[in-house]
Amino acid sequence: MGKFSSLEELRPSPMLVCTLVLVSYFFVTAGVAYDIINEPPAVGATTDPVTGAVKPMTFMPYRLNGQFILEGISGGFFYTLGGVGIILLDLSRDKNKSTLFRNFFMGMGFFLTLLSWAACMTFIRIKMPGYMR
Amino acid sequence: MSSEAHYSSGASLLETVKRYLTKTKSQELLIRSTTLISIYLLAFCVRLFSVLRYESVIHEFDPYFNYRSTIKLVTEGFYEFWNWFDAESWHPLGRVVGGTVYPGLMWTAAILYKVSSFLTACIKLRDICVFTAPFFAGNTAMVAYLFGKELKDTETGLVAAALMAVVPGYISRSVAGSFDNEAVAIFALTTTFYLWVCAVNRGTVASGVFAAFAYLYMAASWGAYVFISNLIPLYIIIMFVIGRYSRRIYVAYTTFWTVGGILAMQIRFIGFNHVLSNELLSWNAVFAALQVWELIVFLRAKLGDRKFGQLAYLLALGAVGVGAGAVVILIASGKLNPWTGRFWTLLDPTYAKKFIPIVASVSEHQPTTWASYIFDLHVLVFAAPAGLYFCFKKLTDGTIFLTVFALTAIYFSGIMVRLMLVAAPAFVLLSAISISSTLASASRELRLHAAASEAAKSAPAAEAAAAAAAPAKKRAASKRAAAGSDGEPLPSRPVSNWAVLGLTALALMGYAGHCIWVTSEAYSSPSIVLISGWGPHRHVLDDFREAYYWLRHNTKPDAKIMSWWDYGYQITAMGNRTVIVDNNTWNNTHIATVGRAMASNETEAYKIMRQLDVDYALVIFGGMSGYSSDDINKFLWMVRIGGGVYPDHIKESNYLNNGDYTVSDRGTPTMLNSLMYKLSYYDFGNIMTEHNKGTGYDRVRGYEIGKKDVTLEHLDEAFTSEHWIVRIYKVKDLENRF
Repeated sequence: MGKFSSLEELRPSPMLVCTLVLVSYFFVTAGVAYDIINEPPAVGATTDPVTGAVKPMTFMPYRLNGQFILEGISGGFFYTLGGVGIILLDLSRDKNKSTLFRNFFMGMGFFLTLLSWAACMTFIRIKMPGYMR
Repeated sequence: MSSEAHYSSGASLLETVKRYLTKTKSQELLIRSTTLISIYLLAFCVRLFSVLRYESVIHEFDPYFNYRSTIKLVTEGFYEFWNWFDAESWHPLGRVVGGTVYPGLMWTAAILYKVSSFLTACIKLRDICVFTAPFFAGNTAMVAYLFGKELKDTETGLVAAALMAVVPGYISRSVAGSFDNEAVAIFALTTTFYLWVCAVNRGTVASGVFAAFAYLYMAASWGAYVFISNLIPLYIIIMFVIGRYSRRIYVAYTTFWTVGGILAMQIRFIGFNHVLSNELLSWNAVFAALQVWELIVFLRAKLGDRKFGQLAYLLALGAVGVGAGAVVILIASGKLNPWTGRFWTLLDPTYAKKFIPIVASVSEHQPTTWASYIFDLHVLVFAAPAGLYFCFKKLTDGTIFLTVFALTAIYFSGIMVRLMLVAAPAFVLLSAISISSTLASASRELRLHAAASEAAKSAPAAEAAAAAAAPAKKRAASKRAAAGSDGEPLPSRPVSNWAVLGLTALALMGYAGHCIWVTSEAYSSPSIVLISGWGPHRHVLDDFREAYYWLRHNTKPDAKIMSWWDYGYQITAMGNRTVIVDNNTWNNTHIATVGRAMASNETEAYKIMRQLDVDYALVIFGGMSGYSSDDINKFLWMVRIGGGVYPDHIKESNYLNNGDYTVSDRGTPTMLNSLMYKLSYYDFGNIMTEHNKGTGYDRVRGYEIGKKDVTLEHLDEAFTSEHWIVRIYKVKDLENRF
């Protein structure tokens, strides 16, 4: 405490707190609590009916209330990435930055948002074949 | 001109309407009210799928108890309900309903019923109960509009109301027929938070009192009122730590604590717990701390010392830290065990699994997987983190409260699937802020560009004349527009802004489509009636009501029914008979006794059933119809709960073959001789259920059962429903020995 002249300097900046919050959002939506309690394997396994070989299965099928660890992490990752995309769209409106930055942020924002949305839709269709039918 | 006695304006109706419609303010009012009315109607109608597909019937298990209580309240009066001792459940113990129930929902339904009768609308009480939830869902959407307006602006409020109307996380517990606490509790929660933010922004005693009355409604409706009682003190601590504490917060919280606390204590279930319980420790401690802090500030003002402020801040922080540390040490060393098991699970998720199997067995208490988030929230999972960013970008008292609420709600929703319901309003409000901000900035750029290009159209003529006088910005903007947007950054060009608007429109349309699909397919099943297929192939399995009405008409009035606790409320409400255990699960030993009876062999079970005065045993069996939530699938919980209280009689290892429960020929003898096995599979070994399988093929488990010739010694089969889903057995009297 000695090198701070006042307590205000200890206070973290809002954007640092926001980053920490986004990291915690990733962990919660990845289903970490489910992983800790139920301890599922990282990936599942199916046996091929014809050859008898064991293939890895990434998504636990037909149930919304079960997941494998990697499946949860990929889902949570894309949720956070989509959020970052929308944030980038807003960061591109800052008139004080250079044009290059603003164009880059806007392009990346569109790309990340669309990518996350497409990925999550694909995942949910793999997991639940009856989705939207 | 005209010599008529009265004044008449020369304008016709059409002209008056046109005159009003061309004003921007009335246009805006018209758009806003039309949108809100449509949102209300949408919120009501999207929840009506099960009523339209089948009939207006109450769903699930808990709502049947609430319905029975509302009947008692309406027919016998307020004091009979307030002091009600129910002898028809938990035989022979009974249940003090007046002191162990949250009466808010019953009062709401009774008031709606009385009001509609007074207005001679004469709606049946059952229909009032069925439609309470959609009615309050519409109200919640309206409160979300007000909350968004308070947090940011009217546009955010409109987006929040629209998102709240159809968010599946909320719909799942508030469809028509789901007459449960959450139907009114989420409305109370959102209203309390909205009024609290109003109180903090205004800092008057009156706004604090309004918030306190909303808190009373929440405390009367749902046990999760402790979420509010802990969230608001947490918010005050955070505001203090980040240096935004103000006199308004002091006034708001002091009024809220006193008035809200006294009002909440009027509920019999809460009573003095509100000041004595450790679940409300922070609620009371923060109040005391605030008074101490204001006292110190007052002293400093009198003493007039500048340094005094900093020292006092340090002292306050240190006292809070020492106090929190002491509480943690006391809890860790076991001297202070503050929270009931249900809430302790929220802080330590593995607690219930180790110590309280009943809490762990409820399917709604399981932790959440990643898929539940996108299923229950769709685009809101993407827009919510962006909303958090917008809240942090421009910190106001209201947005800080929303951030604290959202972070705690999202964390708890990860622990327990049921709490996704509490997180849904947080997601909705955050997403409303981000969507509204994105739309606002895009449309602002478009409007600037349109204004600039209009100026550019008249630029060649006016530029020469106005070049000297026009401000530099406008000239540069018109030059940019005239130059055809070559050197412009992407975000200012109209094409990218139209792309943003288009993307948002597509996202919201996808959201609406997803929500309606989810409501229709996943959340509208009246689980009392099983419906499969559609159109000409629709199959309705009404076995539950068939069996309960058989009980009602064919057994003596004081018959006692033993079943697993899931079905207790439905049996008392529809069968009108006394049950041994029901969904209230307040007595673990009693439930363990029933579990032990189901898991023991027939002779042991008969002794327990004679002790408990049981006349009929009821089991749910899905092997014939394929209904998978039957008692054989729940059997492991009967063994675990029974074994938890009677470890000498029930050992889980006796039922396991290679670590799993099986009723095939690999099943252990204890399993194949248990009462549950016998009652489920009596006479089933002679039935052929599928074409090329043998007799006794269980459609749920997917194999043939182990023991096909089941004989019963002390029970008689009394009734089996049409698709064998409900099976009722009569307990035989003692033998005549002479």
